[in-house]
Amino acid sequence: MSKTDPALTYDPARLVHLAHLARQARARFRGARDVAHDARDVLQDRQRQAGLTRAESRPGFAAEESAARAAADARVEAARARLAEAEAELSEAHAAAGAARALALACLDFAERIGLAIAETVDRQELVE
Amino acid sequence: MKNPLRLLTGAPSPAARAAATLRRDLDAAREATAAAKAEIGRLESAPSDIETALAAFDAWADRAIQAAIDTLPIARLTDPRSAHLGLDIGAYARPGQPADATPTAKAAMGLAVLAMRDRLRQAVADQLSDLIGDAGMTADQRAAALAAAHRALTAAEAAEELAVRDLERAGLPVQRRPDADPRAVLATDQRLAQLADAGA
Repeated sequence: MSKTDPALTYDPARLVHLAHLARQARARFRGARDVAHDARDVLQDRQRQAGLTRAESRPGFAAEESAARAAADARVEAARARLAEAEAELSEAHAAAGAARALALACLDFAERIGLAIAETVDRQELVE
Repeated sequence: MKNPLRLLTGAPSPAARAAATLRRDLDAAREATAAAKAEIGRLESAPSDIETALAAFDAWADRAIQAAIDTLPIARLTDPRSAHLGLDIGAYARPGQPADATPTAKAAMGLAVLAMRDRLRQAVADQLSDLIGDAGMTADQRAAALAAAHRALTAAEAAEELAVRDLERAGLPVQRRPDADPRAVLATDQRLAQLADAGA
């Protein structure tokens, strides 16, 4: 249902849609935050393992240990790369969530100002949190 | 079923071409929005014409002269005990604070304007003429140009929102600008098309 304005016609369903997009963006951000957190844990774990590998050097086993160190270092680098990807996604998701929320709130303010009937369709508190 | 030849030739699918077109429409609309905003900023800061600038000078001169006269301790001249002090204005100072000479300087400026307003006005007019010549805008010209620029911005914002909705309907990822105009974002499809057409 839309409310007619002398200048423009608005649709409250658009606001519902924006709130939905803001929720989606927030969910993406939270997911990205979890992924980045896990990636940090993995990197720390692999760095710890690589440190142990280096500490366990034994006389007479240089070749095997060199290969083990190289493998451990490769795992660390892979984890570091994964973390970089996760942090890039987190940064992007954070910006997207902020933008979606800012727009939804601005539109909610506007809708309230012009008296668009939105009271039961969009929860401001949910958007702000 | 997908055309296997397309995979071999690397030609984009119709869906990919349609998506690219939608993206181009959005980019064009966003460029138009940015251009309209830039134009509004340019108009808001564009120099006024000489008459408007001199009107601002006259308004300032009136205030400066009035403030200077109000500052003068004229009643002191009628008091036999202090008349000898004349119209001297002391620097104002709060207890424990350094003296503030600004009121005295403003009063001096106001009195200078009172004494040679016409000469100062002519000097200012000459400077303005060298500075802006005939390029300045009258208030009416600025208001008309700004109104047109705001109409263009409204149309551009509407076209942008139309392009965003087209992408959404196509199931393609798209983000709105956080500072998108709520009048466009909340408008019905029909009204949005009208707004966009108005700027065409």
